[in-house]
Amino acid sequence: MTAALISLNRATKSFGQGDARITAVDHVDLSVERGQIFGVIGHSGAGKSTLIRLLNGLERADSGEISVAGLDLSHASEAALRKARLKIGMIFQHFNLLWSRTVAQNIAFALEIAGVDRATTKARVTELVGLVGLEGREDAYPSQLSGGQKQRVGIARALANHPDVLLCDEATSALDPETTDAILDLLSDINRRLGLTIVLITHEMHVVRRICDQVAVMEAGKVVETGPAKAVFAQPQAEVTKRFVRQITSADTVDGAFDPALAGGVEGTLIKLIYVGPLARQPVLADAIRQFDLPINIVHGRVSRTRDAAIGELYVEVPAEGAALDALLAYLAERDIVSEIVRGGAQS
Amino acid sequence: MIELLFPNLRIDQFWKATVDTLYMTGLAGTATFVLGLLVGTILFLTSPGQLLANRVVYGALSLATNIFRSIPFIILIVLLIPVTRFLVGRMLGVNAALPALVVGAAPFYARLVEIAFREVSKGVIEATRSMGGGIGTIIFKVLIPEAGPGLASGLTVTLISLVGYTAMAGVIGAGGLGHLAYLEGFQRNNGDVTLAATGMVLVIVFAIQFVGDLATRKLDKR
Repeated sequence: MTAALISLNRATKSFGQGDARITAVDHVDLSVERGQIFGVIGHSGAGKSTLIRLLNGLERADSGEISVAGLDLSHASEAALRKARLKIGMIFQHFNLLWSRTVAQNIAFALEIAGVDRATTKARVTELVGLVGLEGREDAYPSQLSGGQKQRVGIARALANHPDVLLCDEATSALDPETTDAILDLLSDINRRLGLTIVLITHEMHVVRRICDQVAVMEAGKVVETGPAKAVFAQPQAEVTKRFVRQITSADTVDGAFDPALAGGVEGTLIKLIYVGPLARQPVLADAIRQFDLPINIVHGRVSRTRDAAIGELYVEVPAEGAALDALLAYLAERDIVSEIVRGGAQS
Repeated sequence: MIELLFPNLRIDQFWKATVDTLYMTGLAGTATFVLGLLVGTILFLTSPGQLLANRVVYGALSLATNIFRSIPFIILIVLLIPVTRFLVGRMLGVNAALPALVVGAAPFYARLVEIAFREVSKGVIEATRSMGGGIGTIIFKVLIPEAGPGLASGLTVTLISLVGYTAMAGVIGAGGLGHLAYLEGFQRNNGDVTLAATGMVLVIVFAIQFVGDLATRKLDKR
């Protein structure tokens, strides 16, 4: 077991006093390992903005322990925190660039703070401009850039001092879907190439689905569910997670989600099957047909991709009820396929 | 030509008055800029919700600037006579006007500085902190450059009211165009002198406005 790069132990932070007191982060335990892309998803007000600010000491926890890259942030002095922040990059929803500086000067700003000399700064800026794909725009001011380009400057600035961690505060929420994907691909690419650990907070399931390895779901200051992204997707436990999963399913309606109401002519039992990862390439259904001698009819099916797994969703019609149906469902469950009866089919 | 239009105007006197006005405005303006920037920065940083939020410091400083901003300038000069005597040694001449000019204008500029800093995005300050920037970085590399246009346009307004103040100071013996217009013009019933002095004040004010607007536009990269 490798030591976690980031760990939170019963971290708590509240704001306000008396009746107006709000606990934004409520006894949160988390651990992020080196090289991971860790997503924290939650609705606005769930406490994820405060949580991410605990990770670079912009907010100090009231209680609990927080350690990042070996430094105990909960007890660090302000000077030690400032030094630690050089190695903890952060990007923001509204980019937060200095409009009085050009692209190159904005990136150089992070190096100025670190006290890097002029020649090294110049070389590093050129390198970073190339890394984020902004060649030729070095002398442009932020007001002359598109949202996606501004975020690229933000990323370059955050990476300037070779950080251990990159914190992303709703980094794509102000961008259109195509730009969002381009930025997510860039983050994913940086994660792979530099082995950089990324912690991102978002309210968009799409972001988690596209790039996250691990995900934590937050609601009212608490982490209600955490685990590998694909597992959380396939079998959401908490109610809020189920709603988030539905968010992507309904967002995909355009490219053909299934509406069971349309399957009017279906007799027998309509079952929805969900399977993850390599299983998608195994002939489980074909085997089932042979083993149970049932004419399983596929009504609708599709596969959506996450970062490292495929999630399959299949609607099938089976002329079976009672014990035969139970046996089939048990057979599928053994093979890690989640099934849900959509219509008909009394179980015994 | 000039003799014909302004028969009572003595050119040497007129130039001397103009130079005196520019001298007072320039020197008092520089001091006002430095002092106003300092006080404005402290006002901003100690205001509620900011980095060095401090109710006592902010309250006291805020009250002081409001008081000095509210006293009519002509009364301020009289009130400051003891201070001026102590600092300058006498109550006549251009230097005697300087303390009152600065005390009158600096609080006004400090408020404009505070307002200009408020326009700087909180997110940029947060981003600077997230990069490990301390208070010095925030003041000199974020607040002042990012508020540049506001600081420049505020200084323009302040300098223009300073020109007005020098004229008032002139009436009670500080020299300059106000002095010329009042003593040589009004009291000796030489309307042409008053008119010439007024014309020169207008030229100075317009020039300040022009340069100020130019600087504001040049600094604004938004």
